[in-house]
Amino acid sequence: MALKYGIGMGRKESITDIGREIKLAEALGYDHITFIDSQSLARDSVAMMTLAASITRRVQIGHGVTQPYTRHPAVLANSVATVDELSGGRAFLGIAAGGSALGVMGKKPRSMEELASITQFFRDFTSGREATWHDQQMHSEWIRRKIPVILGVDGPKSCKIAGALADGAFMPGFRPEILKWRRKIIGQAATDAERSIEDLELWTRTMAFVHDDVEFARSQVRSYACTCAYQFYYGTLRWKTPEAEEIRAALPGTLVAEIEDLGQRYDWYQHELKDAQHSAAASPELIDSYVICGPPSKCIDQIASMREAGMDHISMTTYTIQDKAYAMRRFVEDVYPYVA
Amino acid sequence: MKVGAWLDAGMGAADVIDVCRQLEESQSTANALVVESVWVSEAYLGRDSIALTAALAPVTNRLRLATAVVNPYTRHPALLAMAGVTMNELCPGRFILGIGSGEAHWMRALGYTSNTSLTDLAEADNQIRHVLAGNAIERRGESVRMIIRGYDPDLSVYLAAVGPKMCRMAGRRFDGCILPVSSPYLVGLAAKEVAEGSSERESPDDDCELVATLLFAIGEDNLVPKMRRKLGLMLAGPGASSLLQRSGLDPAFASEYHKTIEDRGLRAAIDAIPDEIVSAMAVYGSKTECIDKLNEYKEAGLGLAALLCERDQVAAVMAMGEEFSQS
Repeated sequence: MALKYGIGMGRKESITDIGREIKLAEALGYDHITFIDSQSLARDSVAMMTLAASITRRVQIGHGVTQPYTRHPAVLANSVATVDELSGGRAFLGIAAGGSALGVMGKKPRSMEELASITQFFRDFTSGREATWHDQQMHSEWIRRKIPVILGVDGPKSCKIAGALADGAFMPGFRPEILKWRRKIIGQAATDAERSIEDLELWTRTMAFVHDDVEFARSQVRSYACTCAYQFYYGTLRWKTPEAEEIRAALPGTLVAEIEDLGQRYDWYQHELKDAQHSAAASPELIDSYVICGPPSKCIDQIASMREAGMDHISMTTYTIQDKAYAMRRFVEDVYPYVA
Repeated sequence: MKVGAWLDAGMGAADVIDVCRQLEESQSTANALVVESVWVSEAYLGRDSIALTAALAPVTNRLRLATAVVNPYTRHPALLAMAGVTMNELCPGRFILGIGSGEAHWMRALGYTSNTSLTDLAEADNQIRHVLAGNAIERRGESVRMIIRGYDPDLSVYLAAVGPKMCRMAGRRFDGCILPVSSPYLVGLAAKEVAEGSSERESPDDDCELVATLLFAIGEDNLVPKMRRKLGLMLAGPGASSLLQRSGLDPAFASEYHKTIEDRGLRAAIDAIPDEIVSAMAVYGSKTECIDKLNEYKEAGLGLAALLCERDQVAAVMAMGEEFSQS
C-alpha cells in the first residue's frame, strides 16, 4: 500500500494563512488535512474544517484531534457530518481523550471509558442508529454515512479502544519499538473484537522538517517532540502496568529517564510553542524518537523504519515550524518520492 | 425595519449555500443591501450552524451571517469564543453569534439535568467576553484563558428571548435580542422590555437590535396548512404556553395541543391548530397581505424581520426587503 501523507495545521495561524496552507496542501498532493481542536490554543476547528471543505476538491478533512468534553457528542457528530456534507463525503473524526484541550483548562483528560463511549456513540449516530450517551438515547434523522473515526492513542488502554472500535489510530512519534508495541496491542484488541488489524488505518502523528542543517531542523521541531514524549509519559510510562514495563524495558534507559523528567516539568501554557522552556534541553535521541528532521537521507531512513513497524499513513503537524510552506514542499519534493 | 433571511439548516448544506448566494447575487452592488442578513437555524440533532455560517462566508461579501441560535451548554463558552474569533476573521464585521438557553425538553433529552437559567446565560456571556478580552476565567473547576494572539476581540452576541426577564437582560447586556416565531403583540412587549434593559446600560449609546425569526411565504395557494405544520413543530415543546401567552393568545391551547399529540399524534394535533393562532404568528398570503402584516411588526417596534427563506421564496424575501428598505 502506498504511503498516505497528510498535514496538521491551525495552531496559531490566522484564518487567511490557514486558507493558503490548505490550498498548498491540496496542490502538493497531501491526502489528508487535520485541524487542531484546543479552545484558547487555536482557531475554531469546525470553521477551519469548513473552510477546507469549501476550497478543496480531493483532500480528506478531520480533527487532529478533538475530545469528548467541549462539545456534546451529538453536536460533535453533527459538526463533522456537516463538514462531510459540505465536502462531498471527505470528513473523518479524529478524537482522543483531550490532553491539551483540557490541560490548558487545568483539567485532566477524559477517562478511557468516556473515550470508548463517545467512539461508539459517533459510530452509531452517524450510521443512523440509536446512539447512547450517559444513558440518553438519540438518533440522527439526516446523517447516513458512517464517517470514519481515527482515534488518537498513546497508552495501552486507548490502543485497545482503537483496536476494538475505531477505523484507525493516530500514534505519536517514530520510535519503532513504541510503534510495534502499540501495533501489537491494537492488533490483539481487534482480534478480540472479531476484527482484523488490517481493517484499521495506522497513522504516525509527527512533525517533519527536512533541512540539510540537522541542528536547525531540530530547533523547529523539538517542542513538538517534547509534546509527544510528555503524552507518552502521561499515558504509559507513569504507570506500573505489565504493558508499561514491557515498553520501558525495550527502550534505552537514558531515553526513559529523560521522558520521565520531562513529564514532571511539562507546562501546558507553553504547549507546542517553538521555544517552550520544557523543550530547551531535549536530546537528539528524544527528538528523533518523535519527529522527522534533518537532511533527506535521514528522513527517508526514519520513514523506512516507520513503515517496517506497520504504519501506512503519516500525518505531519506544522505548529512550531516557522516556514510552513517550505516544510510542506520539501517533504513532498525530497522525501516522499523515495518512500511512497 | 431591516429584512433578513432565516435559513432552515434542515434543507441541507448545499441549499443553504445556494439560497444565500442567490440572496447576495440578486442585490445591486451599488446600493445598500435590501436583505441584509442571514440567520442560520440549528436544530438539536441537526446540522452545525457554525459550520454552515463558515461555509457562507466565502460565498458572500456583504450579508451579515448569524447563528440562530446555539447554546453555551452543548458547546463550551470558550469554544464559542473561539468560533467568534474565527468567524470574525472569515467575514470581518459580519458575524453575529446568536445564543440561547436551549429548549428544556431537548436539553433533558441530551442529558443536561441542571437548569439552563438566566444566570447561566449571563455567566456564559461574561465568560465569552472575558476570554475574548484575554482575561482568565474560572468556571466549574476550570481555568480558561486565550493563548492565541492577534485576533479581533469584538464579537456581536445576540440573545434568544421570549420572557420579560430575558428580553430585559438582552437589552441590558447583549448586542441584540432574537425573538422566536412570534406575533406583533409579542414584539411590542419585547420592544418595551429591551428598551428598559438598554436604559440600564453603562453606555446608553449601545444599541440592542430587536430581531424576530418569522414564518413567511408568499403564494397564491392556501398557505395555512404549510404554516400550521411549521408552527406545530415549534409549539410541541414546553415553552409553547408562555410563547402563546406572550403573543396575546390563549395559553391554555398549549396543554390541549400537547394532550392531542399524546393521544392522537403530532399530525392530528397540528391539524387542530386554530387559524387564529396561525394567522397571528406567521406572515403569509399575497404580497400585499405580507407587507400589511410586516407593517404590524414594524409598528410594534421590530428592528429586523428575519423571514423564513425556503428555496422557492428567495424572490419573495427580496420583495419584502425592497419594500421595507425604502420605507
